[in-house]
Amino acid sequence: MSSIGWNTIESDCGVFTTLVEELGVSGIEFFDVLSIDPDSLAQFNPLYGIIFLYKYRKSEYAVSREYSETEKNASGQFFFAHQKIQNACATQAILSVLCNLPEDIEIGPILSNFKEFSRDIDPETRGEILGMSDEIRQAHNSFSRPNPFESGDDDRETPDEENDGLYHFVAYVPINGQLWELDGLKQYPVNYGGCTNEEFPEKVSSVLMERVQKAPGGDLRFSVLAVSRDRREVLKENGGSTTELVVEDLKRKEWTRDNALRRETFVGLINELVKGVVGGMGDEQYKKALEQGREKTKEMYAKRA
Amino acid sequence: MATTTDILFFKAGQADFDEETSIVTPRRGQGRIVVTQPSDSEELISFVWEPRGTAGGEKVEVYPFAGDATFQHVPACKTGRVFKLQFESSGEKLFYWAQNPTDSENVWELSKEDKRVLNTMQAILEEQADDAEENAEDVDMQDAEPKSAPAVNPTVPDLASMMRNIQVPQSQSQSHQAVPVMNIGSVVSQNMMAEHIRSLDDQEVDRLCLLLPDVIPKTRESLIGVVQSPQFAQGMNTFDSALREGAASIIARELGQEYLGEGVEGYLESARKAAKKEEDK
Repeated sequence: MSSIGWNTIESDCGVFTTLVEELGVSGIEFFDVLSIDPDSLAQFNPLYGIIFLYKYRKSEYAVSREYSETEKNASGQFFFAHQKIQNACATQAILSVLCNLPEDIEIGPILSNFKEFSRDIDPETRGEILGMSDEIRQAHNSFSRPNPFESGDDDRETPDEENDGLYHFVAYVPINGQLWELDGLKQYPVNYGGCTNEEFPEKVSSVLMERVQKAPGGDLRFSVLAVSRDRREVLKENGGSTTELVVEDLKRKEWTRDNALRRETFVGLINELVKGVVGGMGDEQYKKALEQGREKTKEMYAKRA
Repeated sequence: MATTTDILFFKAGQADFDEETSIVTPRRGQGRIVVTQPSDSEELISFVWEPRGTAGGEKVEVYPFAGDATFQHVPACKTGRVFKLQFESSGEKLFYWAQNPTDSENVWELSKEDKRVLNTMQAILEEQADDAEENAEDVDMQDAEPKSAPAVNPTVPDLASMMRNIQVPQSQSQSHQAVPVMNIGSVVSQNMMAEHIRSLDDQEVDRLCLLLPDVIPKTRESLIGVVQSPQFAQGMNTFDSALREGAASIIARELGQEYLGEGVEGYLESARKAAKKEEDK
């Protein structure tokens, strides 16, 4: 029953920040990273981790990799879980960062318990336990739109139906003086050598640059999120200006609005507006509008062909 | 007590085939096919179509067996993914249109899931499952196919559910084949909706604002903002895909409107009629 009901969620800092807050974490914020050079990354101080979203390709994972002894033993030292549920990958990457934060950063009871509970088990079982966590699943799902017309009695789902996994999330985190890549689709964490927290922006920058340059066919479909401290707290501590605080408040308000809209199906509103628009058309006008709609279908196919 | 083994389960609707016109017409509503094998019989399999959710329709059970029945993709249908179950002995042919979502850009193409269904069924019926696309000939439709027609007409649309008049390519009609509307937004764009909101009186705006989530301010400008938001666009896409996957009759019922056909066009007809009715009151 572990895989029921994990919806896909958007890769968005408003979604991720609110998601971890609903999991009881406070003082953590996600930021869009527009440039992956060392200086830009260093602006997110402290930079706890990086979440890298990219176009998933099966072929990249078909190549088997030699793992070092350090890598093979790593999952006993910190939190690393295999990805058992396709749609949970965003949440999985988030947990890979949060569950490996330095001990003095509070991550709330839900995640602390989860981390504690999964400490002595193998990565595969950890992935399964994550899949079974109702609390985490519910928080995750609260950022997705329900399918308004899925017939409720459809208990016999076809396996793998939605699991085409077009995008994938990977976390980069400095843990115990080493830079690690935590990818739930790989057997072990990947080690990128020694790395202090201070060196992390610079070292992760070069890992990301190399990764992006190696993307097949120069495919640049990726996005990067930084995990850092809640900007409002940083501003309060450093005596930020009123304007800066107001901007942060506005950003939060916008997140609340966007998240509320993400949960909506809008079926009722769409229908009322469609009725208003097509109901107001004369027969000829309506016919013409339909013709234009059909033309758009043709254009769409012509573009794809 | 006899037990059964599930072999296959997939979402599909029924469809009718007209011998004279070579046109496959989907029946409304969502359905599923369940193929099972009673454990006390090695040869007999049960192939059941049944309605899914609240869709109507009678359950149909048939017993195909190897050497008599064949299960094939009908590649001539370019407006959706259609399967044919044919019985040699009785000459009976049953048609089904796949209702599982597809990611393929060309929606007549079988998805991975469809291929799995096809291969499994063909394996059960001891068919060669090598190359389903090639092998699944279209005996019934060949006559209608123009000799020099391009193998695939890329301008022919998707729309499993708009298959009210799935045209098996006819010699002359190919070039100006009917193309259905695929997205509500290509007839009623978000901008048109915003314009419409601007033209309403305050009372009508208030009525629409009741449909907004709690945290959203209930004003005309805020309503327009929502309608122009990317989240609203995603909501429209979800609506479109539900229509494409055969939910038009459920949607009509839930909205208290008359069902007037599948797909986006069927829905638009239904919404327009509902609006006209309100006007008359």
